[in-house]
Amino acid sequence: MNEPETKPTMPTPEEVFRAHAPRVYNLARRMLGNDADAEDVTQDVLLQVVRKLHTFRGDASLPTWLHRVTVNAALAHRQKRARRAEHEIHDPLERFVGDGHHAHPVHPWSIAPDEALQRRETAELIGQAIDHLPEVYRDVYVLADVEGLSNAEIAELLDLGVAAVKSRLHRGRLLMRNALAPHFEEVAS
Amino acid sequence: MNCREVAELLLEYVGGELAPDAHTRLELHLEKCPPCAHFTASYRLTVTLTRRLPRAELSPEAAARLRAALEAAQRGV
Repeated sequence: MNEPETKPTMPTPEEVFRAHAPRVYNLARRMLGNDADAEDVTQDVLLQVVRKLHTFRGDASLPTWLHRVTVNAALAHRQKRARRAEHEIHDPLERFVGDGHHAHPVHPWSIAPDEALQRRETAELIGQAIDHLPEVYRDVYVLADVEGLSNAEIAELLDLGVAAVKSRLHRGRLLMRNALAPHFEEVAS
Repeated sequence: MNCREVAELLLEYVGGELAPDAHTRLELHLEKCPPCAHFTASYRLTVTLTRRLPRAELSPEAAARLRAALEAAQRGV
C-alpha cells in the first residue's frame, strides 16, 4: 500500500517572523544605519522567505541564502534612495607621522567588554560608531565582526576579492577603534 | 618595524595569519613600544566589543507592521 502523500505544511506568519525577523533586521540595521530602511528591507526579505521557504526545508544552506538575500536587498535599497553625501573618508593609517610614529598619544582602554555591554549606553555608542562608518567599510565590517562571516564568504557576497575584503575590514576596524578611543581610554591622572 | 607598519599588520596579527618572521618582529616592537601595545590591545577590544554587541531590536510598532505584512501576503492580499 502506498503511503499517503503528505503535503509540507506552510509555516505561519508568526513562525516566519520569530525564526527570521530578529536576525534579518539586525543585519539590515547594521548595514543601513537607520531603523526605517532596515524595516523596509526586513519586510522585503521576509516576504521572499514566505514565497520560497518550502524550497529550503531541511536544507543547511538556508542561513547562507538568508545572508545573500538580506545583503542584496540592503544594497539595492541603498541604491534606490537618494545617495547621501558621505564625508570625505580619511585613511585611518594617516594618523602616523612621516617617520612612522603615532601622531597622537595612545592610552590604554579601561573597559571590560561583558560588563560594559550590559550598559545600554555602551551598546548604543558602538552601534552609532558602526552607523557612522563609511559604507564602503561598514558593509564588510558588519558582515565580518557582527555576523561572523569569513573573508571568503564576504568576498562572494559582495563580489569583491579577498584582498579587498581584508583591506576594507582592517580600515573599518581602525576607524571604529579611533571612534571609540575617546570614550574608553583611561584618563591620565 | 615602525609604529605605522605595526598598525598595517594588525588584521593579520590578531587573526593569527602573520608570517612567523613578521610576527616575531611585530612582537619585539610591541615589547618596547607602549603606544603600539595599547593600540593593539584596543584594536582587539574593538573586535571583541562588536562581536558581543546585542542585536539591534525591532520596535514593537515595526514588529506589528511586519507581522501584518506577512499575514496579508499569506492571505494573498
